Amino acid sequence: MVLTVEHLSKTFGDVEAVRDVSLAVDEGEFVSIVGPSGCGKSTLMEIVGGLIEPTAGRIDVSGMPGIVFQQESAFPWRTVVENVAFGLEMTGVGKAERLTRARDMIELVGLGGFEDRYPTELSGGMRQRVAIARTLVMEPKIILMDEPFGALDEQTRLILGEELSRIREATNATVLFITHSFDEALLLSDRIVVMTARPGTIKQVVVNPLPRPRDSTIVSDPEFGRLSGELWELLREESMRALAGERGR
Amino acid sequence: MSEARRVRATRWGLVLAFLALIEIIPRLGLVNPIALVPLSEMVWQLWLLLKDGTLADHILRTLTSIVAAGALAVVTGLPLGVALWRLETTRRILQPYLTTYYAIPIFAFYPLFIAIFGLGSMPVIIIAWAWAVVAIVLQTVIGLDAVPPVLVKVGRSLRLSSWRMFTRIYFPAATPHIFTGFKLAASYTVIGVIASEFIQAEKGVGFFVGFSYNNFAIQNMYAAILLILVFAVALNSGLLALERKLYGRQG
Repeated sequence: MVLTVEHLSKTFGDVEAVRDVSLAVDEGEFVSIVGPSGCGKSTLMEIVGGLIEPTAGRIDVSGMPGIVFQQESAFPWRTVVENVAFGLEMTGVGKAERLTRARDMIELVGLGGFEDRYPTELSGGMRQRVAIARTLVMEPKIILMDEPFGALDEQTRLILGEELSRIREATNATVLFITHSFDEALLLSDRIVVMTARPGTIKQVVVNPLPRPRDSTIVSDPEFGRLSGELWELLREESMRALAGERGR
Repeated sequence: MSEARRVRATRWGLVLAFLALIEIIPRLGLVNPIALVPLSEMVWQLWLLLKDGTLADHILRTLTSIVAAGALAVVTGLPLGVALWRLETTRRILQPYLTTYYAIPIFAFYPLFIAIFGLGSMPVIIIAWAWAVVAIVLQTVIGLDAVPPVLVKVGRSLRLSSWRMFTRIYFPAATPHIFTGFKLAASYTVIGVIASEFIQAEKGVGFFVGFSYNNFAIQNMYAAILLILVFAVALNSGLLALERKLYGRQG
């Protein structure tokens, strides 16, 4: 297992964000976490990524996880290639090698020709590719993605989802992916973890039977529609509860 | 003509019109010739003063004071800003003083500085520094505060040391704000030096303006004022160009 989480809980003050979550991710596996907003998905990810400490429970993760955030995280003062090479630079990889590796990764995420541009000169979708390349180039044992396409429009999301699917097949990366989009989850994952409203805990794990590799045309597959409906049924009640909770606050 | 070009043309037109007015008004005798001399005479007089070396000493003194005060403001303002950003409580205590700092007519304290440091460059440099440094401190704090949390998370996900977090993430992310502090400080330094020389000094371009005024040497006074204006505008344009070059592509 690349990642094992056992009985993980997190409380902020008197707010219980995550309760007793246990989860294991195997090498080469792509696991998505879907859940209503405010269910502690991001908290769970930040704990796994070592950014915050859990209140209780155990995490066993091999290596230093790479993280791709929802918010724009490309460094505006660095060019695309300097951004992608950042992590390598920080871990002491020599200049020639890190530039070669960064360029290869830029090519892989489809940003070839934009190496010397600054992030503000790119579109939102391209900036997110920079962030993905910066994480992938480190070859982490596991990549954590917190709604990486959440700030983008629907079409860009699907295209980038398809790209990610391709990159994943090419690199055999292990990914823990947080999303609130069933389409994204079904397009990309092997397993989908459905979480409950706060305090977030695992409601059910759905194994995705759709054959790989997949591209975005899969959204018109009848099986895709059936699975999407199944996920929504699981989530509907939780989303209602989350909404009611928000109103009650 | 595009909108942008029309705006630029009008902007330059205003400058030219203003310069033309300064030339024409005294020539038409619309103002007392002791109050204002035509622009061409100012330029000519400045040329003469520069050529015969009358201004050399004053220029040297003023430039030295400006550079000294500016450099002092940078080397003290940056660390103070960083320290204030780190020391949450100190900052909360000092916040009201810092935000109202520029409401204080600091030149009122100039005689005090002269009493302490004597009549030389020292009180001039101190007052210019005191006026400029707070702009750098404030902009440094603002810049470091404005660093998006997600960039900090990227650094933490790579397990960067505190030193690297600062030098590789916080500081570069804050530099556009800090540069704004430098620009403000540059203007404040020039104003601080010229104004205090004008009030009381034994040398300097500001002193020369005041001295000429007191001795009814109106042409000399305007020549020196012109020199100060040209210098201030050149300094500002230079810094703006540098800013565009450094940060223009960072948005």
